[in-house]
Amino acid sequence: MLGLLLIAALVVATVALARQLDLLADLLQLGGASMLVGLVFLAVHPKLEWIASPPADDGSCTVDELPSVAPVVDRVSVEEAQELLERSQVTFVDARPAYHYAAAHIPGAMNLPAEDAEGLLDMQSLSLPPDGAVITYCDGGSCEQSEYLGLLLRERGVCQKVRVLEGGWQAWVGAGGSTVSGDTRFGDAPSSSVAPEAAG
Amino acid sequence: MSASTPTPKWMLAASWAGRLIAGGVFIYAAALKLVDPVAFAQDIANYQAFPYWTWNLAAAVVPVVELLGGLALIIGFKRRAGSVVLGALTLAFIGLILSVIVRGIDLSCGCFGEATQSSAVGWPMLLRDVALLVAIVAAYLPPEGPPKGPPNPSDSSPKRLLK
Repeated sequence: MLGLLLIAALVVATVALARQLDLLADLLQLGGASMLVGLVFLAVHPKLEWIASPPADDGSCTVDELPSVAPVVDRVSVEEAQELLERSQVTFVDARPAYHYAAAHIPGAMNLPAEDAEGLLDMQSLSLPPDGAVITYCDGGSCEQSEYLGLLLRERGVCQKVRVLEGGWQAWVGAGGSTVSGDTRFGDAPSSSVAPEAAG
Repeated sequence: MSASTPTPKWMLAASWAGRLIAGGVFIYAAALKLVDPVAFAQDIANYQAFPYWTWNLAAAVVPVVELLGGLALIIGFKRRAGSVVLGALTLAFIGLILSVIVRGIDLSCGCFGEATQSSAVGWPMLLRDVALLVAIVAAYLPPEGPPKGPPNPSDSSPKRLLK
């Protein structure tokens, strides 16, 4: 619905600016040519279907449905987190979905997707060092998922020294932090199947 | 500005700068998206703002709009139409970014295909798009084509009759 409103606003803005007939004609030519070339591109591209597959409903809640939390968990900068990782004084908890974690994550990180975290913690305890530093991270931006996860871990008494990685995964990769790929189950000791790679 | 008034030099300079900046940015962005439209379709899906049947269509059409609009700015052919189209597109991007900020979604923008995975959507990106909009407005400002004033009564050449 929001997207359709944006498109409508775009059309209105375009027509409103096209006060001259010449400009309107040029706009129609440019828009028509773009649409035509775009449709041809869509038709001939081998990997692009006319209509994308509808998103699968996997039963998990969306980010919008996560409980809203104010930013109360302490933040940690990427630089400090890298130093802690080098000294092996920290455990990372990846709040992103499992397929993102499997593709790449911070070395030694556990995966606890924020959408499923409450249910998973109900079923199984998370083996985190009670006195050790724990850093949660999500994809980036406002870090609501890692904030939520940090609060949850604190409320459940899993760990008290939990902090949120400022800027999340995007900031970590952007700063050249090391990453590994590999899969793990919730609660397992984190392991990686691929040697560390330089991120950039 | 009337057709008989010459365009100020500062406006021409600003327009050239705007054309080069905005045109270059959009051509670069379009090229990266056209290389991998599947990834761009996924980026569109991540915004959670459009129905799924529009994802691939937008992934194919938007880069072409950006490419032709950018070329129009750089070359100067249908410059004002290109400015209006790219301006409307940038306004739509700004609206999308605002909606992402308000909804608190964590995602990378996909503005330049897969080349800038690390650029998360947020206020810095909003400022960047506003700056781009300023460049587009500057590119639009000077009048296009030869001046079209009222017919000069003293012009007695035969060509005047053909106008």
